[in-house]
Amino acid sequence: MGYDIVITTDRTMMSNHHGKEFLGFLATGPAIGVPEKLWMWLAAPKPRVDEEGRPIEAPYGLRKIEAKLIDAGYRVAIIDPDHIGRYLDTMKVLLIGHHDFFAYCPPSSEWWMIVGKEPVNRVSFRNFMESPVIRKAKEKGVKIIVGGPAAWQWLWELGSWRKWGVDTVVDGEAERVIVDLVEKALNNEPLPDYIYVGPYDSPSIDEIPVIKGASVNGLVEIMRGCPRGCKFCSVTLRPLRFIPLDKILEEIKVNLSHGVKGVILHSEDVLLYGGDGVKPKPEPLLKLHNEVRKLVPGELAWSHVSLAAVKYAEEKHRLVSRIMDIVLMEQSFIGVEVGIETGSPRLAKIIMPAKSAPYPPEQWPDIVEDAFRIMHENSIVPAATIILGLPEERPEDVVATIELLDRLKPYRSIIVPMFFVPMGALKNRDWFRRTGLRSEHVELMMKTLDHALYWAQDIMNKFYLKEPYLMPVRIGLKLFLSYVKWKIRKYKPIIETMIRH
Amino acid sequence: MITPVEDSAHHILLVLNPRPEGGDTYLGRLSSIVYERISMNKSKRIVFHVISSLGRPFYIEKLKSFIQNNIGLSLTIRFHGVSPDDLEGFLKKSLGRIDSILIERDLLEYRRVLDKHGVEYIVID
Repeated sequence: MGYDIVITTDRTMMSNHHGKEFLGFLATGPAIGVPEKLWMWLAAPKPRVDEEGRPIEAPYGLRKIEAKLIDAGYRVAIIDPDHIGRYLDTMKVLLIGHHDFFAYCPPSSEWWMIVGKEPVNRVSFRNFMESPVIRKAKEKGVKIIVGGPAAWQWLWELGSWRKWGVDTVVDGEAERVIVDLVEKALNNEPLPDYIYVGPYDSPSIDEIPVIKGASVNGLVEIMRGCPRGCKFCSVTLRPLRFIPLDKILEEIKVNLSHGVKGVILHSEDVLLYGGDGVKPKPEPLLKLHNEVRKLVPGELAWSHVSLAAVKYAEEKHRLVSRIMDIVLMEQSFIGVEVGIETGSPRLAKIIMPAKSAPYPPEQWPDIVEDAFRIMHENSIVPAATIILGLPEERPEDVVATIELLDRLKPYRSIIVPMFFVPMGALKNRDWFRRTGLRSEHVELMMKTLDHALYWAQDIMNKFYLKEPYLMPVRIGLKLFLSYVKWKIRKYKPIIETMIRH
Repeated sequence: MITPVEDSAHHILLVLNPRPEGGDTYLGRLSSIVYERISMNKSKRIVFHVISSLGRPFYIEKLKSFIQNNIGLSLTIRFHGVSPDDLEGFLKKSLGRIDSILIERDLLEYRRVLDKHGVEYIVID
């Protein structure tokens, strides 16, 4: 069967990362200490595809666009980048989505600045766009429409935009515009160069379709938007919508029917599902986890939670423990991304005044530590971010973050420092660059590295990559960790001297 | 028109010169005119129709700050050509749907085209 509309992305996105979402983050860095091919295999192995070149698992955002177009009656499919050539004769529109087209998002941009070498996601995307099949498609008059969370990056890549013949860039939630846009492209009507879908045009719950094929590692969204209003974040600009439980379960069933046994519940703050503003509520969360646990035989994971929600949920309702009693019936731990961003109450107050809510921002370091303790006690392993170079940051703010890191030492976690990238309400501010690094930034980065190396070993020994088929990945990662430790031992005295002076 | 972002939107024709954008003054002037216009018709959607000798997509460099500063409004940008003749062609075809016209001061040839059509426009520095 031919398809008029093909949806795709490059290899770093079109992969299930060995069934371990976190490994996908390796694609945000350059190959370090190993050949690029091996690095790519560790980060983004080729997925299983069917006889038409359709991946069994595909990125969730692409699945939503595919579903919207299928519901509208189009001949459309997500095709693995290695198989697009089969559709050159039928394809009229090529839709390409990405989380980080040009590696400008954190942590890609940070790796790039520190190491001075392009991250593999950037290299992979460029190679894909410059591949003979994409050039051929363009020669045949195929319209190229790009979008996704990293659509804003094209504003800094006008040369690539022109060179690769991109027709339209779509920034924002696309459900309301994609059908009309594709219809115009199919009819050869003039297309706009750029569309930003504002909050007013965000889709309602009814306009968000149920996915038709499996998503990578069983990811399903449980809500969109976030009520916290952090200035550096773009998600918070969108209205808050809870996906009804029956729709969530329907999507999980789609994944199960394609052999994907686990689920990642996706939200900017899973514990706020069905919540009362920033206060988690037991009933919807317990119901969600009970129903999902009953359906899913594999691992249940969360994408993100906020630290204030962890503390409030546990201290007010013992809710984290009660949820984990459900989750841990079938697994030994759960991984999740959390945002510390800063250890300075002063800066927290300016940049993310509601991140600590319902507690005051003055208590932010205590909230972070309490939440880390609660997660540690409940077998939740957070991958936490810290942002360096936030607008208004002073040296004493960085010192406060360093002091907070010392308090977090006893808690199993990975903490990743990231350079500020202008997004959200701060998207008009300047980037943080390597030249802006001060000695306290370097000290902070060294501390997070020590923390990560210590706990990574523990996490791998106790929880991660235990499956026999993942033994080669485990060996690869252990070799990488040894390489990093060796490098650190070599350079640490020099860096420490630099910090002191 | 792409629904819904171009429906009941405020349509603005921008005629831009090829010089790099003039920093905060240029951005401030463009923003204040745009926001004043859209508040008048209570729209939450803007469409920029652009004529610029910079060509596509390089003219976007001049609108980048505006795009970055915009959070609340849906924004669609269409390119219609580089020359006074392209402007002439656009006006003949699409003048009826344009709500406001902004042109940079030094674009005299383009301004003559607008004058010929007897349309009102705002000159920006």
